[in-house]
Amino acid sequence: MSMYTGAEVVRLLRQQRAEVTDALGAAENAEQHHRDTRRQLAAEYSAAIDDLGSSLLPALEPESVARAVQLTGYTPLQDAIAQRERERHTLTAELQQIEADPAFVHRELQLHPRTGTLIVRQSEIVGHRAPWAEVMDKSVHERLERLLETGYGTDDYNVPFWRLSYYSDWEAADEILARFPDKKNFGELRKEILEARATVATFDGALRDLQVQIAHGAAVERRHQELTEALRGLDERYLQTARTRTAQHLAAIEPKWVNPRLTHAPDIQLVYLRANGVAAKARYLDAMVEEHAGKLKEQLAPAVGKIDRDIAKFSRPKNLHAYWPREVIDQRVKSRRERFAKQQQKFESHYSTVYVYNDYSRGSAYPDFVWWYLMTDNRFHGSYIPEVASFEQSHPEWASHGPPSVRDEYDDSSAAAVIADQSRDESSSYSMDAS
Amino acid sequence: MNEREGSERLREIFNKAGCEIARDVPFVLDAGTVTLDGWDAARRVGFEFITTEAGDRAEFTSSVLAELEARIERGELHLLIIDEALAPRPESLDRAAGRFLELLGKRGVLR
Repeated sequence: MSMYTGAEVVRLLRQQRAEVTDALGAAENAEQHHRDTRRQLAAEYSAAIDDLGSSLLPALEPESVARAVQLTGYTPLQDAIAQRERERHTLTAELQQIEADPAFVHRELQLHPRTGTLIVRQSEIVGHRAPWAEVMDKSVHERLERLLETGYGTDDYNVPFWRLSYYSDWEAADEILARFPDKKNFGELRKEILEARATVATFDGALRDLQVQIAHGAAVERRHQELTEALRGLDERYLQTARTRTAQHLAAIEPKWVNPRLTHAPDIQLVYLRANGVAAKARYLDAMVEEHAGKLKEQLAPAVGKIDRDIAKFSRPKNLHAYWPREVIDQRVKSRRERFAKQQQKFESHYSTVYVYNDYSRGSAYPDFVWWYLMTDNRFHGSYIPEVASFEQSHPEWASHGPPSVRDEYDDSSAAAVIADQSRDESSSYSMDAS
Repeated sequence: MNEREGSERLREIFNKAGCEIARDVPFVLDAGTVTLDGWDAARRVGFEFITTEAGDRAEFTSSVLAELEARIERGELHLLIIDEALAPRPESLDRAAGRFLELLGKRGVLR
């Protein structure tokens, strides 16, 4: 019987490990690439929603709103104009209130950086306060509070001379007094320090009052500006929000319900199909990546661990020089490189086919469909995607033959008949808003 | 500055001013006997450095301090009392002692 040594088995296992990690790397690359693609698709979807919104709702006016509600069934839109007007009323009322506030009326007079009365007054007080604040700054000393409290420099001071604190007070008072050459003794300086404290406290109170008034003036001016800007952008903001919500609502509904409503608005139908198709494309690509890369990683990640354990096992001294049946080992380390490559190639081909699809107008030709068949021309199996599997159950002929020929089976009259049926069904049993 | 360092410093200053300071001198009071850190019995001049480390807080109770202060006030003795909790920097201690001795000089205690 032909045999391998343990060392040869280890070499073969390492080759196998490299194949598996390459396949895992390819799966991770596919996931990374998909993340980039998703960002592009999100931008594409957002642009499609913008286009759809603009088509559905040219303006936030009663006539446009009524038409958009009729086309989309998005009834919350009916309240948008009233909401906008309520907000306009609230903003206008607050604006009027501010415009009546004296702080706003006289803001230029009071708050001008150079000539404003409050600013000038503030500057004056700061100027008057400065020399008194200087006295306080100059007299700062760790013992100052004690000197003031014990009445040092006055007849009230009664610390006995045999106590060290008597001399410490004496020394501290001398140090402070040295900073005020015009003062003869600490008693004189003490009066000035106390007067400075009281004066600075008075000025600080006045400054606080002024600062409150200045802050109030600045706040009302800022709020007035915010309200003015809010009012200026009110119409556009409500229009954009209404467009986006209406378009997102419509784009999320299956074409079989929407197409019949849009038969007389082919331009809107086209942008709807683009938004709906791009969203479907994103879902399909998510599912494809999960089916290929996700499952591959799930299978192969444990395999790497097993190979590592086998490498450790065959590397042990007693196994390394032993002999192992070639037939068994060949089976164990059978190369899967080709299989991995084929899977990867197939995935990339399918992914690319779906990704590049852009003929969304085809969606108008079928009363009921899922994009998968249009995007792939039924060349790829897609039943791992729930919406495709569900459609296949109700439309087995699509699963076996793909999209029917429009010219043969869905000429204009039959399509119109189907759409008419859908409309009748919908009018009795379906509310878009509740979907 | 601990008690030993502070007391030595004060002893030198007091002696330079004409005192003859003895260290750790027992002193009898009505409230009990205490040990003064520095004492010139002839001139009745001295100092006490109150520290926790030396156990002074148990010895120099409030009644002892009250009696000492009453006697200082009456001119019976002249003691500079320093609490370590309020102890200044060494140079400030020097100045304080100098000024204390200067006052005693002015009052005729030291010549």
